[in-house]
Amino acid sequence: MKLKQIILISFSAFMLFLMAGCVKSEFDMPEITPIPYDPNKVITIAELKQIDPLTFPYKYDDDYSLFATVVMDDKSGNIYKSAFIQDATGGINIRLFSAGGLYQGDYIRINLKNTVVSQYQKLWQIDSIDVDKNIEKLATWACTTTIYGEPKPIVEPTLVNINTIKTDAFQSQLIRLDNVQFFETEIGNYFANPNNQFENVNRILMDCDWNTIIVRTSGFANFADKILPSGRGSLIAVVSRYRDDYQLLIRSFNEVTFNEPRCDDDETNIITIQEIKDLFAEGEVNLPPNVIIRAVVVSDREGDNMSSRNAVIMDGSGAGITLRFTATHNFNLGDLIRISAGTLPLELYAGLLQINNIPNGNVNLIGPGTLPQPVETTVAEVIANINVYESTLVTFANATITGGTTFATPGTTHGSLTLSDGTGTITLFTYNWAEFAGSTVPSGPVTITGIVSINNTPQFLIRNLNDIVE
Amino acid sequence: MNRIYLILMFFLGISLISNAQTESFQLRGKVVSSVDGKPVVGANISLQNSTESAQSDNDGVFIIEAKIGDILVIEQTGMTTVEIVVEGIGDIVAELVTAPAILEQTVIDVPTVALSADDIDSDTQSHDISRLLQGSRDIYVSTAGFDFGQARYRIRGYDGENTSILMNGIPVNDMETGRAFYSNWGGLNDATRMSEGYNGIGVLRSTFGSIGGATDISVRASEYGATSRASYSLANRNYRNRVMLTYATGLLDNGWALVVSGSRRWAQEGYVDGTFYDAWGYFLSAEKKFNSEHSLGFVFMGAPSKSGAPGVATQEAYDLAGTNYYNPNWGFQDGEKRNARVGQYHQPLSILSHYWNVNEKTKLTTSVAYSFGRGGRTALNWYDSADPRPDYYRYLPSYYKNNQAMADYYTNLWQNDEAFRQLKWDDYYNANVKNLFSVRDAFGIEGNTVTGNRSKYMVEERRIDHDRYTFTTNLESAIKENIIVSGGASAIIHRGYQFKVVSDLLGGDFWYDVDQFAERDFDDPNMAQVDLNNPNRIVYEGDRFGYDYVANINTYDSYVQSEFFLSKFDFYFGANLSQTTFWRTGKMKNPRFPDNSYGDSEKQNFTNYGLKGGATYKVTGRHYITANAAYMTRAPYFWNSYVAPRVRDHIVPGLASETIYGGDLSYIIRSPKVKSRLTVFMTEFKDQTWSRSFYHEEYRTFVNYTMTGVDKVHMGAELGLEANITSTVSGHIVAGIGDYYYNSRPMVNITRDNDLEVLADERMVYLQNYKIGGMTHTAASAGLRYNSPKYWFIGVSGNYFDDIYIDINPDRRTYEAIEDFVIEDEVWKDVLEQEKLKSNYTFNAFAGKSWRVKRKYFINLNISVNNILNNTGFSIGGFEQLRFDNRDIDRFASKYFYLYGRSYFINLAVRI
Repeated sequence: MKLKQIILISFSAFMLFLMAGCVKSEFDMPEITPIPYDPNKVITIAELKQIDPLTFPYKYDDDYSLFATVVMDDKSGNIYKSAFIQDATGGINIRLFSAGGLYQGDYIRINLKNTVVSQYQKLWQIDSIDVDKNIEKLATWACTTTIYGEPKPIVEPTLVNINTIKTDAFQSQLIRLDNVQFFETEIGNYFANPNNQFENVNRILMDCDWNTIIVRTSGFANFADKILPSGRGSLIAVVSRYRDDYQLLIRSFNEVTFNEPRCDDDETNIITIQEIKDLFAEGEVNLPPNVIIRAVVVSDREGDNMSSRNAVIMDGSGAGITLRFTATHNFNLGDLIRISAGTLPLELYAGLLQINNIPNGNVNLIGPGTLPQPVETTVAEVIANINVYESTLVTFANATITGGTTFATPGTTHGSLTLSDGTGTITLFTYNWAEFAGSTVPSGPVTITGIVSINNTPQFLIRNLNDIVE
Repeated sequence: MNRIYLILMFFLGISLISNAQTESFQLRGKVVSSVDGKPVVGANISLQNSTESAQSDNDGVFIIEAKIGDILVIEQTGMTTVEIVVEGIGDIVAELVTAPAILEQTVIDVPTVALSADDIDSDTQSHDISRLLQGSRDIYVSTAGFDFGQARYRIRGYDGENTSILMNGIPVNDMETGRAFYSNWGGLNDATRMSEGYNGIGVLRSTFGSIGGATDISVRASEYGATSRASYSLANRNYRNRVMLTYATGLLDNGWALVVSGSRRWAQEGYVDGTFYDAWGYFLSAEKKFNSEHSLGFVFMGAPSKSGAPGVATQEAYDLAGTNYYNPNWGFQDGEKRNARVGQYHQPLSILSHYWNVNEKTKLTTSVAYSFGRGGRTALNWYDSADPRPDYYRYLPSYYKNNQAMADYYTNLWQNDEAFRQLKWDDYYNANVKNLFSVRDAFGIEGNTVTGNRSKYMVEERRIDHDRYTFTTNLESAIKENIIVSGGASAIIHRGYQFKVVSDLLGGDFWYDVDQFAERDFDDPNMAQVDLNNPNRIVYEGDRFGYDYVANINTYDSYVQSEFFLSKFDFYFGANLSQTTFWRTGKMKNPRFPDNSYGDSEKQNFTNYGLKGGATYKVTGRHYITANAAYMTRAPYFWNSYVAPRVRDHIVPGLASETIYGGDLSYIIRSPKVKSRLTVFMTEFKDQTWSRSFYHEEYRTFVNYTMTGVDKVHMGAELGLEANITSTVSGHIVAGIGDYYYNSRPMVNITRDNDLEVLADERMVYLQNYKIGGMTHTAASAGLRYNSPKYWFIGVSGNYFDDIYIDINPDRRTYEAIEDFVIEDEVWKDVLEQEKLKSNYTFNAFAGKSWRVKRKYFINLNISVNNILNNTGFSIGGFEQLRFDNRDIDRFASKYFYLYGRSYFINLAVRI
């Protein structure tokens, strides 16, 4: 290679590489748009809730700001695209365009422009919030001052009780309940349904005065597949609302600390039905104060062979009693109920012992109970010991019914048929409004189960057609 | 202007292989440059359809064993290949014509558009073979490179792992995936022009090869003729400008030879919006010939590149954006276009070779190589924020089937607001600078609270770096006058480093390294950790995070081949034996798999072998029949062998070597006027493994999907015909018909990505007879070319493509996908059918002229235009998304690739 050629080539190489263009692939930071703030247009949550519901959905057109603390975020999965915020004047639910970005404890300023206020089934909410464009974060859970150097307001759970929650005074706020527990019949269940993530499940929480409230958990919550704690204790939650149901939303499993024994575990005031009958026999006409009855309903509201304000219950003592409520009740066959029966009157109605004038609010449904096995006996035995067997379930074998083709005349006349098992006879009574009143009476011997009653004379009431087995 | 002709003279002389057969003799010749009469050193001379070869020495002289009727093929870098029929025993003068540089003008650095669903999320480089094919002499193969390459055509439908690529005998296929990444020597066209090899089944003396072929690129300094060359190209494809400079000394009298080459390719924006290209290439090869026996060579080369990727989208997105080249990977940042998927690769290779002519019949070449470097592709990552991808299914009007107002709203935005349908970088910065966040117990230190702006959006770079040591030795010996034996051994120790780093926090102060999905699924915060050994990590730009493991792969291979040359028959046999060992070394201890993530995993060992053979029957001197067959087993590739290698070291259940066997039969005509090859072939692959991770709609979580027992059949026919119609006009007809389909019902295992829970075990995939998708099975081309005696040429070709099937989602072909439907339901068909794309055609044209200046400078100008008619509606492939809703298949519609519209490549080269 000649020197001249080498120089020529090197020069060309140099020139060509110089010509070789640059490619820009590094970028500068773009301009940051601050979120508009007008110090003259700051409102509180209480002021926001002054919006007239007739103007819903209400859209803010101007740069109004609201300062609040995030009391519940979506990290647990119990809520989605949503958060609950609270200031000194109250709480509110906010709905976000996309999930995530707000964290419990964040102190934020929301620019309300273009957001929409309404109520969803009575829950106030601010909708259409873009976390990036509407919200400025001023502090986190760890900060004591905001990024502007001002002190950060502290939000702690407010100690309340179930009844005050139901006044709507704490909607969307962070609360704490002490001495609460899950309903006895919920124990053993999960917070939600581990087999179906799409199911939101309500569990009943109660205090020791039997006030109840719903705890609602989403199937996507990270504690959805945890078993409900069975004891009693404290719970921290946010109050939500759906129509007239108040719902507590739990933020995390470790905010449910139920380590004490349950309220009803030391229930010392329980009185048995046998004890009630004994007291009446001794001449007592009122139940003692503060007593609690726990019994199973053995009458069938659907079969409707009873007054709608009456029910018959039996408990572990084997005895039964008739209840008369002040208003129509809705307890079904097999329900385990709890009655605050203190000082209620004991009366005879046409010879049948009743607890009378029971306010319906005194009775709590605990859940499904276990029906007692009906005693197999004879008509003669029942009649001879009518006060022992009254308001209890018995079964007669080989009984025949005579005196009519149907149980009653529906809508017109009650039916009084004769039931006989060879040892004696007893009136088989059916109200004309009973569900089976117009059904045909079986001929031939049957096995029949029912409630022993008294209407001056002994009576027998079946609950429904399943009580007769041919 | 005078056409410069090189004069080549043949002389009788001593042949390398002694003992002539009855008809053959030693043909002597000389290759000379017609410019100045100087000898052309290092020109490659071979006989067609034979493995005879020779090279011109310092005087341009060569000697080769030939017979009357043989066709001599003479090739040299930068010059056209000349073929001469041997018509007598006297010295032959052949003329090497200055190349119109066809080979360089249509070199396409194929776009990094992904070939299949897995590629779209993978961070691997382009591995399309078309550039390499264009240099082939076989008309079928070179047409496949030129005219079919743009349509992603694959010869015989094979994936890249079926072709072995070597550089000076050093295997350069990637160890983890088996594919060769041509971009590793991108832009170094001048330096990597010389190669030998075969397609399909055949013989290359430096390696056993694979079912698709083998190519060995020679970068040995003494084989380059002395030349200086500079070129500049203008194009409108991936890059718009290219400069290449090459200087080669040729073999000097002092025994030294040196080649240096450099290149630069760049574009601020390529054919597709939002793509940029920024690449360099450097090459150095030096050799010292100590004596006639020993020579030592050293090569060092690399091609650092950085480019923004195009994307792929659903047809709905293309239609709304108004273009089939809509690229969702870029957006405006402060008014400038920024691409989120930037690939940055630099994997230099150094080779030290010892060449030993043991005796006149035997050569032993031994090389050691070290390659290292970085590969990576960026991607957006986001946490607790809206999905930034502009073509996320919820930002498309089709999501609002029941809400016409919303559908119209989105349609209007897509059609009229360009910024809306691209990434919104400014928004990400705005979000990040306001995301005040406090990390509890940062770095695992109790009470260490760190407060700052936590990035909601960031750019991460997924890296695949590596270190690789290679040793090869190979022996070629003519043990008898008509028998050549070759063989060798190689050892490759490969360490692939897979991890990701924080590339750009986009205005935020830090990124908090937790697993978002585990965080959602487990209430124990420990389970959301990425690395129990480094809990609660806060990471900054440059830090590794997310996953970090090493793929250790050691391969030892040995092979032996022998070729026999008889009067009527040539045949060969070959066998190889190899041992592959691989294992995973995890650098992070995953809380969900604490015993199977950190440290070395169990070693997987595979012993594999291969057998091949072939024969050529010479019906006459111009007609040949060739048959080849091969049977081989192959160890599974690392990336298919682990259920979820980023997180744990569990192996795909039932992992086994795959078996490959096949054969082909060809009828070949070689005459001065007509060259033609007609081939039928059939290959079966058995027991392949397929392993992917994706979001599963039914299980509502990320899953690992592994399929074993996948069998495939590739069969078809190839026809290549090239004819010299007149002395100036030539034409070609090329057609390839293929039928590539799945031939088994593989078993699939689906596990939840976050824990060991097996969601489906041994579920059957009814894959049998579905076509292998993502590419065209049938392609044909016809063309004409006019060579003017006044040193210019022009040509056109018409190309037809058909039988293009969409790459299917195996999960849609299971009982579970259709168990709620009956065959009469419309949805049944929607779920099961495999879409076939419309057939299509394109026209390409090329032209060129050359000048000679001052008797020593050659100037060449070449222009090629592809898709002259600007057909922008030609979909060349696509894939079904892995996420699907069986009640509404269009919810996650298939994604398609389109052939570029009219594109050109203009090259101006100066050569001394």
